[in-house]
Amino acid sequence: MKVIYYLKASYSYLLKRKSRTFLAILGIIIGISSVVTIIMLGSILDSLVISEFEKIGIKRVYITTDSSKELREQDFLDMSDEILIKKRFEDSIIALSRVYLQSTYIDIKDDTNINLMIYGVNNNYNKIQQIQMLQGRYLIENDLALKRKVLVIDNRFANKYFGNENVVGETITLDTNGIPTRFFVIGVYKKEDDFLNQLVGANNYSIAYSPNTTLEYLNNKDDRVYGIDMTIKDNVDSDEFVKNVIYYIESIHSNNGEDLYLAQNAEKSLSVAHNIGNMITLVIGIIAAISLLVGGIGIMNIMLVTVSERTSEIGIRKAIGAKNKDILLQFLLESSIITGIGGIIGITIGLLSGYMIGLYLKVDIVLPVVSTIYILLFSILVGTVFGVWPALKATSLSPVEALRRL
Amino acid sequence: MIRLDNVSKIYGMNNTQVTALKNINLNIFEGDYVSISGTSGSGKSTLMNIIGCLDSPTAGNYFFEGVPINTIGQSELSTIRNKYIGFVFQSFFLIPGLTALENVILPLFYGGKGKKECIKKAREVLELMDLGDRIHHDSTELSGGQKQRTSIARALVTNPKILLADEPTGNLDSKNTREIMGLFKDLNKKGMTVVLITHDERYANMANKRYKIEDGILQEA
Repeated sequence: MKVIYYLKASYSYLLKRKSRTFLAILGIIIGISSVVTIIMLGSILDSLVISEFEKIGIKRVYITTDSSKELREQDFLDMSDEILIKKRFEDSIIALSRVYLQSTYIDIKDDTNINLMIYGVNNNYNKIQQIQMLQGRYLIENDLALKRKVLVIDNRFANKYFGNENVVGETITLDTNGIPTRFFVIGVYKKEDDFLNQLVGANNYSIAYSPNTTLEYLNNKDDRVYGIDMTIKDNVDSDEFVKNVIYYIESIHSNNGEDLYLAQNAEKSLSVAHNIGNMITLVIGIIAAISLLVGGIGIMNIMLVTVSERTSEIGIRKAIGAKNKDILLQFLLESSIITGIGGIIGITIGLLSGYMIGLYLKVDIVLPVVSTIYILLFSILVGTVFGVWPALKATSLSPVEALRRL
Repeated sequence: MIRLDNVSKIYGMNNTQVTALKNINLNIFEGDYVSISGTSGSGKSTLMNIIGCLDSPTAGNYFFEGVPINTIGQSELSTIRNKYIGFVFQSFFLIPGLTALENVILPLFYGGKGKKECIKKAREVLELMDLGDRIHHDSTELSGGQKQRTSIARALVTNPKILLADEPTGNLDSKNTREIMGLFKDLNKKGMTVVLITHDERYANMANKRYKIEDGILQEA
């Protein structure tokens, strides 16, 4: 009963001055809605990063030679590396493929061209990289065994080059080692909407898949990029694995310690991205929190005005028996509740904004329940802290001063 | 019950001192109806503040029930006012936003009484003041006479020993004034000690102990 009693007079006082009360908590609302929106953006960013990495595969490891180093013939990776690694690490690997990359430019109708990157891979590559087939099929063992001149292309390329997507059986002529060679389309896959790539503007290339045996056979092996792409099991630590594989490769090629091989480790990149994301969120969050403190100063201001306007109320309360602690409690409650309400409004706005941004970016939203509670408590704390000085001023009024009358 | 012994009150410092009260000697006994009349600036409100333990003397002694006030701390003074003194002011000083009932409950609330007891007592006293049908009205919705009666109810709700009224009818019309003054007379007849500050001679004369104050000096009238 006590608390409600303190508040009823305050409530009606505040209600009478709606616009002033609103302006007072505006600072708090802005501060809190910013903080909440940023927290949600942080988690949206995280989700985006994870989903991009999931397209690649979180347990994906890709090993290449370091082209910035001077490489001798024996340093290059080849077919035997693929076989040896597969055997040695078969307990850790789900799928593995050596990758032979051929890059060409294909002219298309409207006087432009597309950079067609042909990945020479094996028939297990679709276990390493997500390839969603729309038409036809992906590579099979026989394609590799027979070195068939076949291609799996993406639907965007199919539309640009052929005008439609039903192109299984159609041909494309590619330049292999100076000789024009006809390749048959055996499958069309879905080109993913790559958010990050769209940002960067790298949209004018297309990836096609062909048997690595075919491409190796048709081309000179020199100055082509060679890599070994694989997906490892969930329970294998990526960093450990990479260390071991590289050590193994170095011992096969007798170039231990020369650092001639590079490993790209999706798990590691993801954790770096996580950390960067977290740091950015934290920094921006701190800035937003500062605006919250500014809001607190606004509250203090308003409470000071409130106290000076209500001196006769304070005076009469003291005259009829209110002690200093009663007056203090009354005004502290008032400021805490104002900021608490501002906090609730701010949180609601923040959650809504975050939710809408998430919808727009098509990302799943997780409601940050624990953070929200902390933020609400923090806003009440701001009200209490910034309300202390005005409340103390209220208690310092003597009843005589406060009840000034003729 | 209350004794003022050579009480003086001086405001300000050094060159700009104002002596509001000069060597006041006053005794108030239980059951007294005291009136103190004077013009504006005579020091009557200052005297009321001292009697009501709202302010303390600069010189001299004030005894409440035999206890000297300068030995009592702020917090205890609040308790004394809460339990033993009822205030009625010219401008009512009701708290806006609270109903008549809630205003009257306030002294009981500050006195630490429980909810049920607060409501019961406040109701009783408001009914005594003929405000039974107005208890849930916001204090700002009451007429002048009703406000003053609410304020008197608030002053009486803790069963105080003394009722201090500073120009209680200053903002009322003549009908309400007569009613309120009649009320004070009734209360005094029932045993309540009343101290009335007024500038109106007619009402000053209703008291049985009459004083005049001028330039800070108190005299019997």
